[in-house]
Amino acid sequence: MSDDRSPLERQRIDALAGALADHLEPGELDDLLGRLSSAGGSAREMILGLGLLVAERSAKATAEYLRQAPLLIGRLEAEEWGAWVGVGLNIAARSAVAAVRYFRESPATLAEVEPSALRRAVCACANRFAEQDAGLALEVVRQAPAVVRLLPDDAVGRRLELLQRWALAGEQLAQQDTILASEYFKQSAQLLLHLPAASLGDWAGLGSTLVQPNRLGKPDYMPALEFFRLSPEWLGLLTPPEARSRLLQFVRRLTDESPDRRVRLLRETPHWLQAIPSAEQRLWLLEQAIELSVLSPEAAMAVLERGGELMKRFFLRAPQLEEMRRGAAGQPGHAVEAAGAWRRRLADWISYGRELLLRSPDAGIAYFRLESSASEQRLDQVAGGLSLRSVARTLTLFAGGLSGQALTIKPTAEAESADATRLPDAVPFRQGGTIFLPPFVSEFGSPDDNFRYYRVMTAHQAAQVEFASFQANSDATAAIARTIPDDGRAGRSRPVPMTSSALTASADGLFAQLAFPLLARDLWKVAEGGRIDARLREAYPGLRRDLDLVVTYTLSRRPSLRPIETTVGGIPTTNEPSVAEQIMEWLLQLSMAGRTLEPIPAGLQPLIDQLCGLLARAQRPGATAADSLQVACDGYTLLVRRLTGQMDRLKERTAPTVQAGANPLGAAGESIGASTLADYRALTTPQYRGRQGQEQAADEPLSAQRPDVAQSAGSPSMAGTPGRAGVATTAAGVAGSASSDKAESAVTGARREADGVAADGPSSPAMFRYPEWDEAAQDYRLAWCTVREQPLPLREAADTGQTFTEQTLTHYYGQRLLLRRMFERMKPDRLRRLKRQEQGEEIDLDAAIEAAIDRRAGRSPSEKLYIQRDRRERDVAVALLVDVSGSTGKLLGGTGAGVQGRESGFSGERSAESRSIVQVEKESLLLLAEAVHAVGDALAIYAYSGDGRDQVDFFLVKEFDEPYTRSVGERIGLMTAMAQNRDGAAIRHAVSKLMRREAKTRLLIVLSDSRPFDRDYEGAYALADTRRALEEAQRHRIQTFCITVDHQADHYVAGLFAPGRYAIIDDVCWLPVRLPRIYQRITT
Amino acid sequence: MAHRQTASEADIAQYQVHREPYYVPVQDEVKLFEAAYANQLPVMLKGPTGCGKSRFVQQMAYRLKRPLITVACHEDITASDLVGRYLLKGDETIWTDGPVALAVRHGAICYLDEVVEARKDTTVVIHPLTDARRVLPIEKKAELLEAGKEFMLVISYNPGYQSVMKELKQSTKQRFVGIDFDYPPREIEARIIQHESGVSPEAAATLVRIGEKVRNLKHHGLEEGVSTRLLVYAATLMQQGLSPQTACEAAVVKPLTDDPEMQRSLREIVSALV
Repeated sequence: MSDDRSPLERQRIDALAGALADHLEPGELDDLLGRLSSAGGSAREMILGLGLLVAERSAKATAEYLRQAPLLIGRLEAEEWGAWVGVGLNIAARSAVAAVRYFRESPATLAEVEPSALRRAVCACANRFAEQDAGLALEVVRQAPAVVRLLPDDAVGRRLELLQRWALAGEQLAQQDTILASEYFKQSAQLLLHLPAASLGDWAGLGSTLVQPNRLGKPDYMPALEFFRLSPEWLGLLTPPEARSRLLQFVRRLTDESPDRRVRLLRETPHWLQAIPSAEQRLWLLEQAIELSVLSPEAAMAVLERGGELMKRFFLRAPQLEEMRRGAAGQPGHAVEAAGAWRRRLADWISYGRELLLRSPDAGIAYFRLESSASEQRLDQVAGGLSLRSVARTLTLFAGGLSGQALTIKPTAEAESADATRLPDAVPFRQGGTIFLPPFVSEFGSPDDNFRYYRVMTAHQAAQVEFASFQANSDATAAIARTIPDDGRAGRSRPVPMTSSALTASADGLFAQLAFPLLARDLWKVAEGGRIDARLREAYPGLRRDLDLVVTYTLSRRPSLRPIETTVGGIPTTNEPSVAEQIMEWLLQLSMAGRTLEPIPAGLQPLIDQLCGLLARAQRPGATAADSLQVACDGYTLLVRRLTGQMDRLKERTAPTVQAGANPLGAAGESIGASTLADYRALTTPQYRGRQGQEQAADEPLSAQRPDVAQSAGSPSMAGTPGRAGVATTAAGVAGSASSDKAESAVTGARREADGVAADGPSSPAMFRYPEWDEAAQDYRLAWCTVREQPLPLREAADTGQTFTEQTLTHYYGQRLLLRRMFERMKPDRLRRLKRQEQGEEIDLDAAIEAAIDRRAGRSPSEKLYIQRDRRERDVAVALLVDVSGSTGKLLGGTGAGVQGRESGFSGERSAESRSIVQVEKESLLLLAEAVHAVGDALAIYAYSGDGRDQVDFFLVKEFDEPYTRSVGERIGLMTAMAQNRDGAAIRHAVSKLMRREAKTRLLIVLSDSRPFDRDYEGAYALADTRRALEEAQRHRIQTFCITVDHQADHYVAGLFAPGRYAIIDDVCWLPVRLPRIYQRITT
Repeated sequence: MAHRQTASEADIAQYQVHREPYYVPVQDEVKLFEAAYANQLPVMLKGPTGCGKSRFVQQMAYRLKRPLITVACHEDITASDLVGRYLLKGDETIWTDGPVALAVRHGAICYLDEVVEARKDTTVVIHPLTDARRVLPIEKKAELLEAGKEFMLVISYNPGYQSVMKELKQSTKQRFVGIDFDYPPREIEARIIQHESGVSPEAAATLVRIGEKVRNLKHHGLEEGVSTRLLVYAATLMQQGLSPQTACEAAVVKPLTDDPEMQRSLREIVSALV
């Protein structure tokens, strides 16, 4: 072997042996040299020569080099060796240890990178880092194979370019910070799993902007590191893939946002968009958000965050578009049209928001967050449909008028109508006194026609009440039951449950006895639906045209009777309607529209004619529910007999035992019809007919429906319409949380009784939703605040002995007497006579004499000759709304004492105690309550506090109807400083309570200690909402007055209340004295 | 404003009902009224506005051939407005009988329409007339006016729509024989509408149906159902060539409510029926 070594090689071996003498085991060098033998002579010379260069830097690295070099023989091309070793040399210049690691690791990874051009690029990149940061160079070499593997299978030139870009992005990062660059290289392969290599630049670029100085002025790497580590995973969740790079670009553009916020956006967006079922919609929305971000990043984020909800609400309103989209999957032409339609409409919605954004950023953002009523209205508009909300009250009254019963209209559950498989048929149904209607109707082009659809649906369901679908006497049912011949299912003694008078209950009971209950019930539904249609046409000529419109539409949407190809579990099956199903469908179509969609085969024509003849009996004028039941039973008998040809024969057999659900007649093998009957699938009921009482049986009778409940629940629009902002609607959604609070309040209730205080309030907080005015948006935020009406929470009584009432009344004894006298004088004096009136019941003698004298004297006499009795009546209802927010707990300074002492000579020791604002408020309230009681005005006292918009606590201290007793005083004493104050919602609730009170003068007095303040409720926003709430009160002819003890209230209270409608009490200690006097002033 | 125009003694004849008013008895109200008259019992007619109470009283006045003095009560009416007062005429004060005194003097039927509208202290003056005494004390003249056999007091009120504030006092209520009135049954109402306006029987029947449906909405936002009177108005407008929708809009929808949503509902009901 040693023979073929050239002199140069030998010389180099010697030199190496010398250099490595201390670092290699004896004989190891020979061993290593032996492994080089596979290379050619010149190659060996080169390898050894390079080894000598390395040896100049580090002997250890050289040893490692020599160990690894054989692996690369034949892998690296001759000119690549230099590049490879060059990196090692540069690393070794900084760190021998790193160089050893480099030589140890790199051969394996480099070997995986093919072709050589890419390898060279990797080495070149690593080389650039080598001197600066060996770790980075190593990282490049380590990650290179994975990255190269993930590059697109393209021309080498293209791959090289992408690889260089990868390297370049890293280098740029490295210039900023090596930590980032290292993380970049580590994670980039992960990213390439989800994103094209072209996006690497964006990714790195975004990462580089995420490092910003923290509060101490040092760079904060956390967001950037989190970004590099986790963003590949986040982005991976997003589909379609092209959305990922768009999102990256989008977030990169938001340079003004904080790093944390951008990282959050990147993390959350895939989750938010996940709520949108279709990939094309996700991508579209993302594009819209990106476009919007130029105008307002905030709005763009809102669009992304609320995108799922937006799509859901839109397609709820425009189900026809969704259906078109789904149904058109196989038909490209349709799909384009459908996609065009929803895009156009939603783009319209967005562009409206954009305009709003330009006018007022807050309004725009509220719009895109779907929080403003403008956004809902606009959505209605672009969806082209009509929302039930906007017409619910009209329809409720319409239904009530037609049926003469208190009927409630409720939207069918949103989830149900969103379920596309059930559209458009299975939506509304009647239940008790409730008419269920779809939340949106957009099947017809114009709002007018959509309304007509609502009208027909309402009329049909109201007519079920009017024409007593569900009521017939049980005798009639029993009589009908006897007319059905035995169909083989039941024995001779067929018990028909006759306990309920509701026809459905007995009809269902009756049907349940039959072999094919579904068939019987469908026959009944067809007969009954036809009967109602006929009665409607007869009684309401004006509805005929609308009914025609709806029937034509409904007919066009009936399922086809042609076989449907479906795949069940991967196996294609043909789903052909059975004969019975076909017959029923035709019957339905005939009885509804008088024609069928598809022709009836000649063979079935006679049977269908016969059945139609039967059905016509239920459509005669004046037909009753019993008639349609009879028709159903007759039709059932006929149909079963004709389809099975068996019934008569079966009757002769001795009680055949047939299992429920089994095919009762198929075993006989004599008829084709029987098996189809057993598998009979029920008809889908036309939407406008409702569910025809399936649910009726379980319900309470109609008469038990409380009209007041029906009325308030019947108009979900109330809370939403600005004009009716003050009207509370107990939202259905709140009911759930109400029940969870029940346990808690039950405990409170028990405690209250134990304490011996009258437990007369409702035990669970009643929930009310109110809108809130967004001044910036110039729009209401719908159902924004939840007011929880509840009794005052109990406190441990601090002192024993005297109660609050006794203490206060004793303390203010003189004051109280004075007030009482003053207020009793306010009672209108019925006998007061007004002299010298132009008219009256008596002659004013003095005036008459003067007039006579004047006349004699030739002067023109006065015409005011009568005495009139003053008949002004005092009819005042006043609600006191007391702020018990945390700030009222503030202790008073010493200054109050002097004032109080001076004012009315109160004992000094009481003033010396440190008292809080709320304590003074309480005493003032008690005095005022005493005074108001003396004058005989209706008084209610409410306190409010709260924490955030979902918890505006509204405490009932005294209701209007409650007599004024000691316990009221004690309850005033229970008031204590609590949390924050959201004045608008509390005022709205108090106003809604006042509105229920009949009085000539209705007065709302707000007793407050500071400006409105709550979570997300402060400054101009809070003031504007409060002002708005007060304006609403004014609109309802409720007078408002504010008494505030905030001596800085000048700044804001004048903007809230009209001049003369507020009083600022600079020192709260004056309140007990001033409050009743103010009251006297404003009510006389 | 007080009723001064009712005063003069001379023209009691003008209160005579000369032509028979159109009235279709619904139940036995005519018999009841006649019996009450024969036995000098005061009568109270209860029922919603526009259902024929006043027409009924007119009919009875015609049948019994008594003058009919009607007082439309209102909040500001006083005892003097009913009984009478001194008025200044030239240099003299002249006593002028109020409508009640006038009726007592001449043995007329005195009809206090919508009596609850008057204040409670005012209605008390009729108390002595409504029990066995049958007198009207005129304090200012120190006169005790005794009612003859022919005098009859009739009051009407609508228990439904007024506020709780305006209920008739028990002491007043319990002096009267009560006759309940309601909107007439379908056929009779149709006949009335037909007679009063001259519309076709079909049109009258449709209006009656509209009336029924609208009345269903009482307590659900409507203070009061549509009166027969309004239906007659609607029929009259239709007879003048207006379309049923227009006629009902003007005579039913607009007078009943100012609430736009309610108006729309009423309109839907009308258009469903015509």
